[in-house]
Amino acid sequence: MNPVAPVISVKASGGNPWRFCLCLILLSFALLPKSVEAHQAHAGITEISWNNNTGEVEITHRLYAHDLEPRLFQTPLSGWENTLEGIEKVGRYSHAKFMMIVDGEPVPLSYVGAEPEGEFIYIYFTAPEIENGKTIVVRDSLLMDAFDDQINLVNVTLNGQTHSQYFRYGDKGKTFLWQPLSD
Amino acid sequence: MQRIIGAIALFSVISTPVFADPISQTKGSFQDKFRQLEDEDWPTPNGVRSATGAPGSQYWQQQADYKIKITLDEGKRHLSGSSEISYTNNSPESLPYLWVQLDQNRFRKDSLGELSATTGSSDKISYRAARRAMVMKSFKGGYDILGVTDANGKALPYTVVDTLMRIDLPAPLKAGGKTRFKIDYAYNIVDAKIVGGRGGYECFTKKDEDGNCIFEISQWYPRISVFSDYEGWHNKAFLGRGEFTLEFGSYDVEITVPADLVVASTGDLMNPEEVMSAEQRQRFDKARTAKSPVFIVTPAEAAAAEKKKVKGTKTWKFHADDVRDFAWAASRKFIWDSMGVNLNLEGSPDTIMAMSFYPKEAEPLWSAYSTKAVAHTVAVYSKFTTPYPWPKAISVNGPVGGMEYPMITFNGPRPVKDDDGNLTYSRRTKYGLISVIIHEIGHAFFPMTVNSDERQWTWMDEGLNTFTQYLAEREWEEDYPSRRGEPKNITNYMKSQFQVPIMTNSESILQFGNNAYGKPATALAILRETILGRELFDKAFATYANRWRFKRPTPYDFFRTMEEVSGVDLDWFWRGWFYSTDHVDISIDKVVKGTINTQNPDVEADYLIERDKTEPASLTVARNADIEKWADRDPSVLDFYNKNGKHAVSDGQRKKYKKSLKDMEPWQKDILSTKENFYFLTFSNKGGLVMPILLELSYADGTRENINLPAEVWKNNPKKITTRVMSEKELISVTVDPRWQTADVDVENNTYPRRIIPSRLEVFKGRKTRKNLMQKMEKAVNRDSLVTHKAKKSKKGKKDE
Repeated sequence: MNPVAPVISVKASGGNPWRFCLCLILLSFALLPKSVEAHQAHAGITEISWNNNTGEVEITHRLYAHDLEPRLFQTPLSGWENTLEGIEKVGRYSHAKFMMIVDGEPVPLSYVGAEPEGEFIYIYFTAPEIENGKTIVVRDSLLMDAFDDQINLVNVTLNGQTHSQYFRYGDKGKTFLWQPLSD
Repeated sequence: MQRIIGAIALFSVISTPVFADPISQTKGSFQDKFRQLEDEDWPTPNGVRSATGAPGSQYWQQQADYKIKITLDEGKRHLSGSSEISYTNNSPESLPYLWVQLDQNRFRKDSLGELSATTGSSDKISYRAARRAMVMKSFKGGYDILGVTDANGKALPYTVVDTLMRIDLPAPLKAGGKTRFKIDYAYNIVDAKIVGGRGGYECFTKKDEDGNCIFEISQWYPRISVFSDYEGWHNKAFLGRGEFTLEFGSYDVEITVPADLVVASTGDLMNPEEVMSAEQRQRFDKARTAKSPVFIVTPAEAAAAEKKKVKGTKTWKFHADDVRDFAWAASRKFIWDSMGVNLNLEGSPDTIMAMSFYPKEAEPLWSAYSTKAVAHTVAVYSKFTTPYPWPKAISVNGPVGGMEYPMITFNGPRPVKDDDGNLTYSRRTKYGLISVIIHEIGHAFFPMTVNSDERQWTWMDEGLNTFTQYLAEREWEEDYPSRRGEPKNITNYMKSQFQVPIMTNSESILQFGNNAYGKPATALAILRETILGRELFDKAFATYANRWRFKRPTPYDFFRTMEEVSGVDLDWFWRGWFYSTDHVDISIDKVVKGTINTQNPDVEADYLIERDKTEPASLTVARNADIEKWADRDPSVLDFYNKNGKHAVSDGQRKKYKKSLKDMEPWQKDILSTKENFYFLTFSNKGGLVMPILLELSYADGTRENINLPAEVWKNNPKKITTRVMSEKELISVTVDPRWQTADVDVENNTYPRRIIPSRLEVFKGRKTRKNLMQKMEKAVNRDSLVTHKAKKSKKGKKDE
């Protein structure tokens, strides 16, 4: 219900010290509006786990439908979940905004599909098995192009143990240790 | 420099976990999850707050009555006026000074709120944040205090401290005394769409828009700070998140606006004949008994008003009793509809006018749903909590996404226009609108009537309200898409590592929505459906709301009331859900079947022989079958023992058994002859939160039995317990929490023997094969890309059901 605003990037360039300074000056005024209203919270949850039965890594994003739908669809009346185009669009968007990296290489994510349930949209991806003991870097900017107060929680659950990281606007990659076979 | 910071950080990490708890477990690792909270965290009851959770016989609270005159300068988006506050000191203390809240000072560039805001990113800024920063740079926010005077017009000394102002009285205000003072003030209204906040203006100045504005005015007059029995003066600054607590009183407010603006406000309109046309007043009367909303200002009238500004001003006069705050909205864009609600409840007015004010941009959703959602909320909440106390309840559409005030709420959702100019709204926009209206109107009960302190305890109004919102949504239509309240929706949050207990100050909460709204709402839903049951819960919950109607409760008053009225000790529940960050994960680890030893040697021998048969034979013995043994060649080595197996029964044993039967009491014989099986079920608590164990037992004969073990099974060992179930039937499987009603985060370990529970993703895949849109459309994708291509057709036409 907050206005959907695109995001510009004011990247600090290492090679140009003057530009870097300009950024810092700009940032000193760049207070994020605290727009948490009486019931609002822009929050997403992503679950990453290893499915012992299929040998695949499963990634499930849960986002608020009323946050994601206006971002993607101008004509939501049709019900995106009933059209191939709609399902693809949700997949393309999530694919672009979420990434897992192992050994400097992006993990190939296969889009399984998406479905609305209540006020949520669930979006599913799978990835091939990741080697035990690797470090995975996760980058998550889902809906941060719409809301600068979006907060995404990523849970990596392996062997019943959950490790969590928060992602806010502008956050870089965060690491998790991938140890599904710790015992 | 960095090293010093590092050292400080390290020091603080080491020094924080030291609590001055006089009672501590210093041997072993036993945790008493049932330890009573009385006197440990809960304050000692006193005459103001009773041990029962009710207000005590000496309960007091201050009273503040306001007379306000305010003028809106539409062009300058500026408010100026004066407030006369009559303050009654009902406390036993003498007050040398008074504190007043100046919430608009939050929008000063040097406010604690602005200066303490941090950015998520260290090198990026969003358009929105950049735009806000630029607007704030040139915006002059905060109050201009033009004068503070006593009843005789004499200036009173005052000191502004961020969002607070201390007024020094010439002589202390004695217990039971009353004082009157006046504040003249003015301030610039914020652009709510850019700056944010809980009020402000929104102007429709884009191409093709009519150029008019909506004003939603809140935190607009200096409000007396709370002086309470448990905190004295509440002088924690407003940082922007932790909302408010206020004193009750009556209000006379005169709002002067351009003559063609329509005003929606807290309170009864005292001069309708001056501000409404005769026709509008007739329609209003018709609305009182209407079965569906009636337009007071029609869409056509609003459209005409948008086109032409009228000169001059009008003053709208309102009066309100028993309110803790006052807010209003004004626009010439407003369409206004209303219908009466009759609750027939003592404590509610005979007719409550449910109303909505909205611009054409909110149509067609608003005329269809807003006022009906208001009426529904007022009725359902009155049933579950305390009767709605005021004559009106308003929903206004404007720039604020969702915010509550007594009798009036600001709600944001609107349909959208696409590039071709088609007006659309999604299913979820519709339910988003209904939900936000239920939520914000619901706040009329918590905290506008049950006056809890959101600056300190966000969950006390947001959590209780989100829970009641869930009840109201469930009564709007079947399968209403509620976002909060269902136990399974909170599990992802509950198991995550970054979280704080619900009992945390508002400004320090991580994951605000989950912590202060979702988790307490779910906890109460579980308390109602699973722990107490509806009857006990509903009585206790309504008792809490009625006890604290127009009074100020603390968390402990809520906890005590729920226990005292239900008659159930819930300290373990508050500890687990409200005081800790544990989650629910109960695992069934082992099931052992036991039968009674009959002591009858023949029966037991048969049992042992049968048991031996279930064991596989020795591999060596089997492979040696063809080898000739010594005993085969020389049978003389076979004797008595070779003829009688190891389980053979002697006559002596039989005699002894018969003799012992003679000596037995009948009940002992019954036990020995029982057909009952004894099953030993071992559970471990992996999440830490103690909860009842809800069991579904499946038997070989196809029947099922449900047994609920109370949370107290964990009292002597909160980590691992074994319980015993007796049945003549053959138990084949055990399921913990089969209906997913406890927010158990890992349901894989809820069955014995283990059953593979398909993941959500697998379930989705499974559904997809039954009814797959892509297949129906004869399309397919490759594993690595979303681009679809024409699907290859198999020769056999597979059934698509």
